[in-house]
Amino acid sequence: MRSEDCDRIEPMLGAYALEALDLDEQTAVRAHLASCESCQAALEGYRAVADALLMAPTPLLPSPRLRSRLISRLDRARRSRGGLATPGYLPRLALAVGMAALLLVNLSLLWQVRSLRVEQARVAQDLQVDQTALSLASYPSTQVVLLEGESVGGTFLYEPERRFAVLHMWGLDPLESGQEYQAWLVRPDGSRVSGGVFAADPNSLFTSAVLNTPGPVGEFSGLGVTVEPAGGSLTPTGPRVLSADL
Amino acid sequence: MSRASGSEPPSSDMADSDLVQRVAQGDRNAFLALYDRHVARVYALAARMLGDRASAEEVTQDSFLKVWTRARAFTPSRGTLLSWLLTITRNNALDRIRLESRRPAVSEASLLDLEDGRPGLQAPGSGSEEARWRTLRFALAELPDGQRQVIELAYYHGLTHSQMSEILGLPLGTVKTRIRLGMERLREAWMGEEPSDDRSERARTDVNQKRSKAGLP
Repeated sequence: MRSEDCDRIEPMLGAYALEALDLDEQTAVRAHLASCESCQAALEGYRAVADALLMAPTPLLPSPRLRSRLISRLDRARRSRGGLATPGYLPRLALAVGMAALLLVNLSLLWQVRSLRVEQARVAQDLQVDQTALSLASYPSTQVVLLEGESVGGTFLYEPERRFAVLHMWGLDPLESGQEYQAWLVRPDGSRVSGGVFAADPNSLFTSAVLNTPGPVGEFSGLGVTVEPAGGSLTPTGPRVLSADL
Repeated sequence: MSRASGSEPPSSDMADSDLVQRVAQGDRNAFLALYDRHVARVYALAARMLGDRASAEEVTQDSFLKVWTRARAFTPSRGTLLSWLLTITRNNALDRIRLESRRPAVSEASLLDLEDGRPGLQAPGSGSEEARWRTLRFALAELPDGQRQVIELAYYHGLTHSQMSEILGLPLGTVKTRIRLGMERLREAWMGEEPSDDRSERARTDVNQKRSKAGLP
């Protein structure tokens, strides 16, 4: 049905199809088209021209490089789109995978904190040994005794009046779990007193331990190291790996 | 992942609508078949709009990547794949033009500029479609310069009436009239052309006849 409005709108249809109208004109044309079949029909022809204009430029081949470049981008393009070949459950799967990854990260952090604590304890122990050794070395009456064993050696650093001493060893084999090294101090009567248990240092050729003794180290006549069940024994039961006379 | 890498290579006479369905399944061979079939038109449009080959190649690439990632969005009832592809290309090119605030080279703007491009292309589409496009091309070339210029500035450079009036230094009314007259002629040429075997000569004659008619009220 033609109306007066058509006379105003129809001359703009060509420009409308080309998207050349300014905004106010565009709005007016759109409003009119919604209710005017005659103008809708006229627009069809202009739309067809606009479509055809897309195909009007004479076909022209790009460089063959474009084809290979495009091929190399196909995978990435589809992945980043996440679109077509990706079934709908993937986002949920991705979420689950993400959560699992987070959990793993947390567990690994926990584990790292744990190992850091272990490491800290070890370092603190080393520090204690070193400081003890250093303080012992500063006493004028401190003595050093060489310990001997099969392919194992060590030094024993003690001050006769003190109730502690430092044992440095090298060549100690790591023990199976459930076993520990135990140091013994030998009284002149031949009885043995435990000086403490320790493990071979897995990170170093050397193992150091501070021995705490029930009396001044000068009261003892000898020193030994044996392999004992973890936690130590009341008297030596295992093979002796090191010994020394004081 | 339903990448159909093991699928049969698509045959050369497979319809666009079938190819695009296979593209939606991730079939690279179907995608490349579409590329080979239509790239010359896509690139021609991009080159026409942007005027330099490097940008035209980038826009061409973006357009085909969009087909690759959005093949499912294609609805055959709303038009051919080629016009979908070219609409995407036009929008990509317009985005680029606006982003870079390219000023169109007003004086040189002519559809024929790029016709000395690489020759010897197989003509995409059927013979009768090709004939109609050629008719339109001739009709556009036959338009008075002033009319052709505003149509090209509008459609290939995304300019509105008032922008063209400013750039060309012409009264707004003149721009509107030129677009209207030019589009009316193109519409007559396009609608009047019947698919025919004897194309170019007849197309020219038709256009000329319509031109003389169009001068009348």
